[in-house]
Amino acid sequence: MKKNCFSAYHPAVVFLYFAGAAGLCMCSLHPYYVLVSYLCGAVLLGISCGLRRVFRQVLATLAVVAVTAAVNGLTGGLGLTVLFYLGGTPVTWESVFYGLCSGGMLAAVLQWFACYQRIMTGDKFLELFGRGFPTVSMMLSMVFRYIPDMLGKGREIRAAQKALTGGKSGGKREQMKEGVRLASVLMNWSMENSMETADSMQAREYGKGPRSRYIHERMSRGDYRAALILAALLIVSAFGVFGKASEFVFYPFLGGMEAGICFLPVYGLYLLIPALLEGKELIWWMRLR
Amino acid sequence: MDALEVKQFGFTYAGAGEPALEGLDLNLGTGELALLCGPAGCGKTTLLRCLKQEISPVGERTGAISLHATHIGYVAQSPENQLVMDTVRHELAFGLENLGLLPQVIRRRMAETVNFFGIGPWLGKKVNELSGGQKQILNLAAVTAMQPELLLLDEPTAQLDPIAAGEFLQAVEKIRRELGITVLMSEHRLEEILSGADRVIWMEKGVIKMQGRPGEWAAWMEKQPLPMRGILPAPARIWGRLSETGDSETTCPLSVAQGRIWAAEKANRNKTFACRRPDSAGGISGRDSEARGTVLKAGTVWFRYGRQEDFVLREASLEIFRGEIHVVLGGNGSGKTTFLNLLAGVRKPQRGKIRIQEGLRPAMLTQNPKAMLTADSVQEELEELSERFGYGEKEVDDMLERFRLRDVSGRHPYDLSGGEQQKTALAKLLLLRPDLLLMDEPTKGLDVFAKRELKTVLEELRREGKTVLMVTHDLEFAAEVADRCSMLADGEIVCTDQGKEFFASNLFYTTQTNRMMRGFADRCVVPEDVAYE
Repeated sequence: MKKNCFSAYHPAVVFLYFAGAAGLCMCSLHPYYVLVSYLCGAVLLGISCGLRRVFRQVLATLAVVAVTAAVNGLTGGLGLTVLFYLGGTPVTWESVFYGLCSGGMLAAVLQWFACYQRIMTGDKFLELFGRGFPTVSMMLSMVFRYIPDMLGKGREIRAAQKALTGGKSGGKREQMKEGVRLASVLMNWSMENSMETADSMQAREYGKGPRSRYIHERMSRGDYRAALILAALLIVSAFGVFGKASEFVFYPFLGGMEAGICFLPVYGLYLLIPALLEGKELIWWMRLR
Repeated sequence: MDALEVKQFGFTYAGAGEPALEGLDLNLGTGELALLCGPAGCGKTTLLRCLKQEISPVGERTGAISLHATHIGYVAQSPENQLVMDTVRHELAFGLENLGLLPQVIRRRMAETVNFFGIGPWLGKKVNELSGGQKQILNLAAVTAMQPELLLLDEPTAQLDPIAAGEFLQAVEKIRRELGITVLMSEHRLEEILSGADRVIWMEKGVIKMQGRPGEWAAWMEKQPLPMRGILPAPARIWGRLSETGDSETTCPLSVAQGRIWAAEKANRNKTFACRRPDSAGGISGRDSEARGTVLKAGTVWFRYGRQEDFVLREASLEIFRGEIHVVLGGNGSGKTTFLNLLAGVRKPQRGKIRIQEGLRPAMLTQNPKAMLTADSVQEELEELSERFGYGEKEVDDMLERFRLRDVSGRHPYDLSGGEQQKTALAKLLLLRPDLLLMDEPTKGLDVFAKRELKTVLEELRREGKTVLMVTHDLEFAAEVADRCSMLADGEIVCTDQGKEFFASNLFYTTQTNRMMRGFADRCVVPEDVAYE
């Protein structure tokens, strides 16, 4: 996986960023805001997952946009600028445009989630939210070890059974029986193993006294600074989204297109922070060379 | 001050009639490295667990154990099952969290531990991505981070390949040498550690038969009957065969280096070594085996696990003749297991062809016999495929007899020892009357006694005309059983040779005997080969 410099920040900072980005994106149907959100999301996706992934994502999301625009255009019925009549019902520019915007919003949200998944990995999430629930986060950690282990064992048993009979498989009934047997062997085996795990836990004094919790990530000064900057930009952008951009109306005519436009650069800046960090790093390395 | 004093200690498991341990007397000095040896079921694990209060078994105790250690570390056999958490970091922190240490203290201890064991490069990994050897080092590190004064290790290298075992034992020696932690370790792989140990404790049937310095113990052991004697490293066994009156016990060599010094001294005193190879019993010579015809032929096989992955096998070719025991040797990651899976038909090669003689029935014994055992008792295990493969009660009975499994036929396969589990799996396999037996690391986790039994079984199979192909790391075992050996390296079969010749023509990748006798009697491969002129 390509190491992203934004992902090196404390999980709280990363989470704040994504919560803000996705939240604002969901709350705004203003066409410029949707467009900015969508494009910035694509940039971040490109940085963290590569161009090929962006290409796939864009193709998939364009389909979403097209479908919502079509559906809304055919069923909306509001708006006054009639484009054409379809079987007697008017298809208006306003309702098609509404479909485009809401589809674009949906596509952008999907994109943000794709980025989130890539950068805010499971262990980061646990690190952040496990703090209040030490037992739960320990159990989750154990489960995360257990599942791949179990799957591996399942494969091993299946291969062993196949090898035992020289790769020949019996009839339908035999195969069914074999599946059941595989499950029971797997259960037995992992039960047996967990007894050893329990011993190992006890041998390391588990349950003797109150546990403390080791925290890998600490908020550093740089993390606080980043959080502060993000929060400031987020508040301004939120004002833009909720206070100004919401003045934009679709029906009966498109109106208020210029509303909140002066907040757009701030919004863009907020969304592009990870990309800017990456760019800064790139320049640094190029100068070094 | 002694770290551990055991006085007349005895232990009987709850509900068992016979005591598992009886009249043990044992003192361990601070900083001592003591090895606990003995045949399977002699009470090694019971003793170790009795010393570790948190996991000590339920039963009746007599005598006294006094420990002068506030914290005791314990590492068991299985690398995987001892791991608790998902990542290396969490695993290291686990024990320290249990002690209730502050986060900054944990951070510091972890950094120290990582440094000491050289874990740095894989600190960020998930535990499932580690190799078996790395997992076991992690277990050791996680325990050592808790600052134990006494370390109890229960056959920690049994599941590891020789290279990983060597690395693990080096880590143990480093702990002892640099931290002065007292170590009590049960172990049957002695070549690496014996010369570094301070003491060997030999147990049989719950009683300490002998304890002393490694040299003394080896000299005593050499006088014991053969299956037991097999536990000694080859240099000690050669010394035992050839030492004369006047050789004091302190000269018993424990490693190849010491063995060569001893051999050089003998040579100086006008003794000449020679290789006396007894006619390999039942073995087949080269021309013979070719005449018997080919049962399996793999021609330039290529294989990889995915489109983006590197090829694991490249141009691997192999020909197996009827009735031979063929051993494929190779280091870690050389593709041995993959190759065997291809030959067994579990996977298909991407290029090349594997031809098995028409009508021939192959069957494979996997590395972990547990994966093959699916029933609730040994008896049921053997009867399981009777309908499908058309064998009856009589055959099952014969098999129980042949593998001496009758006494345990009612037990659950998981309650058996590693050796017994393997015998059960092998018996199950042989009931299907395969003509070609494929074995993956059959000596893994077996002690010398179980290995000896396996050797007998293999020789029987050869007499019956079955063909055996095994892949293994175990050079000493291969040298004893193989008719022909091949070396798999970097995805291809580099060379194939007659069993003993193979080892005699290798330089480093060969048995201890061969390495020790190089320059004195070059052709020697197993201790029994070495003689005076």
